Amino acid sequence: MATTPDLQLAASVVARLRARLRASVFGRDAVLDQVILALLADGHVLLEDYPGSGKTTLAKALGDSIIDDVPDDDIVAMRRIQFTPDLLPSDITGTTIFDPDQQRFFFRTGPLFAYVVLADEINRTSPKVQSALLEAMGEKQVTVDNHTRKLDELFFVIATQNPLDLAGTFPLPVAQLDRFLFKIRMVPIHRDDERRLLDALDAVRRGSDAPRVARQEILHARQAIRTGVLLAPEIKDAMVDIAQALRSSPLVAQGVSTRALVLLVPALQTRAVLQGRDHVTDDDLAELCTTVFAHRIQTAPGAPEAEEVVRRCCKPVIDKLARRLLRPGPR
Amino acid sequence: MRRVVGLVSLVPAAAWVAALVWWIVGSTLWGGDAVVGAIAAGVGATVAARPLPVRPALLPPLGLAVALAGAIATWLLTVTPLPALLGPAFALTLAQQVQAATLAGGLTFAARTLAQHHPAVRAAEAGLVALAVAVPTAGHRHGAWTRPLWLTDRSWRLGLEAEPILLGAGAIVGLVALGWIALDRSERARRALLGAAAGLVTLAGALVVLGLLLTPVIEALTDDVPPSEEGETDMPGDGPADEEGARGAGGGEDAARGGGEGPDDAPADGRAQGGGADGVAEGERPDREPADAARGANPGPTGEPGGDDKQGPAGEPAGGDKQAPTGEPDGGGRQGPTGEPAGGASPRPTGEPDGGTADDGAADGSREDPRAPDGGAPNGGTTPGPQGGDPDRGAQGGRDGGTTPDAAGGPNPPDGAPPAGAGDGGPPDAQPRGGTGGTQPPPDGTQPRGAGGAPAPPGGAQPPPNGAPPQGGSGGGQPPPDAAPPDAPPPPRDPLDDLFPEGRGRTNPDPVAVMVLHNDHLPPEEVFYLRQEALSRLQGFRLMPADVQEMDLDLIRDAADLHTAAATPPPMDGREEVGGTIATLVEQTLLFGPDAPVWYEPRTNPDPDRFVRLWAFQSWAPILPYAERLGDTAGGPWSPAIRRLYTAAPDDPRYAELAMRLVGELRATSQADPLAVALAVTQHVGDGMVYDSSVVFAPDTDQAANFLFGERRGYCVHAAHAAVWLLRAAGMPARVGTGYAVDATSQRGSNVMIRALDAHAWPEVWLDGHGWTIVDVHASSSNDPPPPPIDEVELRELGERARDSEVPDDQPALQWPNLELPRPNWRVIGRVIGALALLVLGGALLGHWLLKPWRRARMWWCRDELVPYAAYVGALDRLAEVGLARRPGESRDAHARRLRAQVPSLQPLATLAVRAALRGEGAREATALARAVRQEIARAVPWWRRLLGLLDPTSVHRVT
Repeated sequence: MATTPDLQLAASVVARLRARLRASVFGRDAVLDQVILALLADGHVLLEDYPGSGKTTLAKALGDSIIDDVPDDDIVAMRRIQFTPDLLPSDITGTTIFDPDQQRFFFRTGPLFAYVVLADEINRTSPKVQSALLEAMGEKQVTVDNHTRKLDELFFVIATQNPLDLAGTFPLPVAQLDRFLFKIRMVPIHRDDERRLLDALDAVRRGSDAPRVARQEILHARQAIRTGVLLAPEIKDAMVDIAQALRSSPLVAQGVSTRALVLLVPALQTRAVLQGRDHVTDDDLAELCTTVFAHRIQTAPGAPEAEEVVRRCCKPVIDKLARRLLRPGPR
Repeated sequence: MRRVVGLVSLVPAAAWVAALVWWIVGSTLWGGDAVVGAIAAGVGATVAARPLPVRPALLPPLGLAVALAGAIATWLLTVTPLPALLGPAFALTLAQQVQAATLAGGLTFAARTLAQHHPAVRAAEAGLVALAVAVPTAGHRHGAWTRPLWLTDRSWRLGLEAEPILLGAGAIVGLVALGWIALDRSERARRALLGAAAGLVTLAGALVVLGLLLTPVIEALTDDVPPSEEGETDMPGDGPADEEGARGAGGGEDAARGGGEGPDDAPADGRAQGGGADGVAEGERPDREPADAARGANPGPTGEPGGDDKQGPAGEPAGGDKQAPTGEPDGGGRQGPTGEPAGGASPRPTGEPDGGTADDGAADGSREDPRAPDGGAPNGGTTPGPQGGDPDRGAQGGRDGGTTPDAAGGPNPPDGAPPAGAGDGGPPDAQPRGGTGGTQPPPDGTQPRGAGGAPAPPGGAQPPPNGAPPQGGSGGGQPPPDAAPPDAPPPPRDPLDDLFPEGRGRTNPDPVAVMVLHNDHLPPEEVFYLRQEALSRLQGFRLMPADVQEMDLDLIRDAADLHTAAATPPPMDGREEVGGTIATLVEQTLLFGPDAPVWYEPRTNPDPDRFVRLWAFQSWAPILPYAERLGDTAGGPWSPAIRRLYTAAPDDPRYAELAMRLVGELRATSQADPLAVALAVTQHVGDGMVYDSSVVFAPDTDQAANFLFGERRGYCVHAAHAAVWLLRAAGMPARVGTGYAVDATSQRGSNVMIRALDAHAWPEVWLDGHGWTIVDVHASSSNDPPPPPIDEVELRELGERARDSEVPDDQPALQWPNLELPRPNWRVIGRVIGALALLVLGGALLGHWLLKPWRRARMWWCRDELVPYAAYVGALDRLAEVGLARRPGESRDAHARRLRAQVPSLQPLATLAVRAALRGEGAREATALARAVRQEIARAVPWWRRLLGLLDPTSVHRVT
């Protein structure tokens, strides 16, 4: 399959990340792919999982896989924030401190200044902190003392929340969920994988020695994917059709935003690369619709689960798209 | 499993299509009224199917239940006391409605329900809608429009055309139903549906047109009709013969002879015998000879009526007959049924021997030469002929009158008297009779009904004496010659006698028949001319029915108990088809129908107490006013000899003189226009004419001349003859038509009352472009009292009853001999449509099967950029065959992933194809992948499954 060198680079980035993450996290290949996808599509992910399921391991492995090729800034590869009700925005963004030696204030960067940020139990903290995090996610910048500071170009958030233990939490409203490209519900890993993990504990602790990925390479790959992967008009039609279907469906109280579609474009392109293609297909759309849209809609009372609703609304559009693809030649 | 379910669910769909075809045929069985119920039920079911979610599997039991309910309802309507409560006709209609509604409603409901599960059914549904529109508006039944008669009647009353209303209603129903189907689901279904509907409508239209076009062809191919027809016609011939034979038993050797000689000859004998002839005559009138014979022999006159009487058991004549028999032991016993026969009976003895010889002679001479006899007839007949005619006429007039009790009685006796007294009295006899009738009626009148009887006896009484003499005179004195010639070339029966009501009959308001029109028709002159017979042959001073094969081929003479069509119908130009049913209340020798009847067909008698006989007719009725028929020619399709017969007039120079004058008065441009001349002539005849049905002229004279060049007092026969003589003198073929002229004021809705006083004779002129054209004479004034208004209640009642008549069970298939236009024969059309449907189905099947190799092989020759596409489609086709088609909503890649285990090569192939579709880049390796897919399928799927799939034509639709 003819691809450009840039796309080949992107494919190699994907391959390296995959190899490293799979060496650390067992039995979650699909989740790993989604995380890589979100990273390359410049999105963020929200993991819904119970404690001890490997979220931190995943985030750490991802941070470890990225070579900090700008060592002289304050930005590290990976940070973890444990969200608690008494957390303050400045705790995550950083704060201005007075240096008595130099007789002046200087800015001490918070944990957001990293390539990969693990925001653990994001729903346990107050909306104030959540909002601060969301600004950072949306704009890739933080504002402290009326001074706006840029975060790293590669800023990537993996947020988690416990779906069961909801006492004393501040659930994220739909508008804030909209900032996350994916909301991934993790399921317990397969028995064999779990058993394999126990065998490979040492290796996992030691970490993978597979080749890592430079920060610059990831940025390059993002650019290459955005420009190099073909998004055919048919696919765009189908995207809009799905959004329309979701908005007009009686099962949906509030449909998807235009931002969702905007975010979906790089996601589709990235998935095509993950699948080894240089063009987006109906399959990409069918796969991503559910994960991208499901957490962005509010279902009507009495409707089935959001995933099911999205699947139902997508089905005729996907079918029509697949039929269109049967027509020969360029249109 | 899914496939099995899918196949099973197709079964009801297929059954539905089959039932649909049957429904179309069924609607022709049920008639137009039932289709209304069918459509109503169909629409109702369409509405009901939406909120009622029924699984397809439940449809068969549901259909059974509905069918059962329908059957029970039908049974209730026909067996239980309900019919008595509702009236039998209404109950029957209701039962038909229920049947049609059950079927149509059930089918529609099933279709709607299936359509909700299988969108493809919707295309078939659109076809149903198209047909539902076509069927009620095009419903046809034996050439007559079948549609709701109440609607027709009502719209007539409102002065509207029923046809556009029905068509409009059908179109609206169709549109509404189409809309329902179309709006049922949006997206592609609608577009696909509209396309399918358009295609199906076109197809249905094409099928109907093809069916119409192919009907004659198929008929010609499957033509078993002619033989049967002949057989049928023979049968009647035999029948009469036998009948006569039976009579002959009483009568003597003649009968035996007749029986022995065969059908044709037998009738002849019968005629010779007298009464017997009549029986035959009415029986079917296969030939005119019999009538002639009857006429020639005295018995004829009596005999004819007698025959009528016999057949008209209800008629007064019957009464007369009965009395007659009593009065006359001889003939009575045998001819018992026939009253006059009594009279005939007496002649018989005398005439019979003669007749016998005559018969022999006839047999020898062969019956084909009626001509010769004619010649003979005139000879002996100059006197006798007329006489014969007169008596006949008298007798018949009497009979006619007889049909109407009072007047009947009047005329009858007179008739009897005149013939007797007149013996040789000429045509004028008729009038004298009228006069005598007038005188005699009183006695008769005492017993309206008995009148017939009473007079009959006298008649009978007279005949014997008179009959002997007159017949002796005509039949006795000349009997040998007379009887002999008539037999061989039996002199024509006089239809005027048969029909024409003289004397009081002319004003008798009693109904003689009721006509039920099946479609709306108003003749341009607002008068229904019901032609029964035409007089073309000059005989003495008057016209008689033609006795040459080539003349008056437009007449239907021998309509008995078979469908009988005119040998040569008139040109269709300027005419429209009119169908209907006529039910007579009195015996009629000849059937009649509105100008110009093209076929008759018997109908069952739903009310034998009231009706004597019913038949359906089809006419090609002129619709153009005279003004638009001008400019025609009067050449005629005949040989010069025949044409001479049509232009023969009495040898009286005054006719030619007057004709020349009348033509000369026309504008030069019109002088060669036969219709213009005819109009001028009839106008001249009518101008100053005083209509007087009591006028009597001297017998044996040219009464028409007496009338025309005399006081101008007379009635229709005189006027018609006068006009025809003038026209013939001007060199134009003309004849006198007889029958009934019913004014449009006698029409109520589709019912037309025909009364005795409507009997009429009118001149007709030949136009090459329009056939025989009626040009009636309208008298300036009348001495007769105006006819009373019709009895509307009675008319409605009669019409309702007459509508209940049906095609007799033993009625053979319709025959359309010699008709120029293909007549819709729905059985054949149904067969044609069935054959075409099979053809279409077969073609579709073949197309489906051919599509498979095409799809698989296409990648070898298609353009490069299409190779991946073609290879992929070919692979999909193979997969669909073995049930591995893409599922709805599945992406191409997901489909390939699902089949990864069985068909691993599909995934790269699908990727290639999608890439080609999206990026427009083809790749040759697709063919190799397609081959790999084929091999993988062969490995993964057992051979029998692949074979099954190969035979499955529907798999091509699952390539998605």
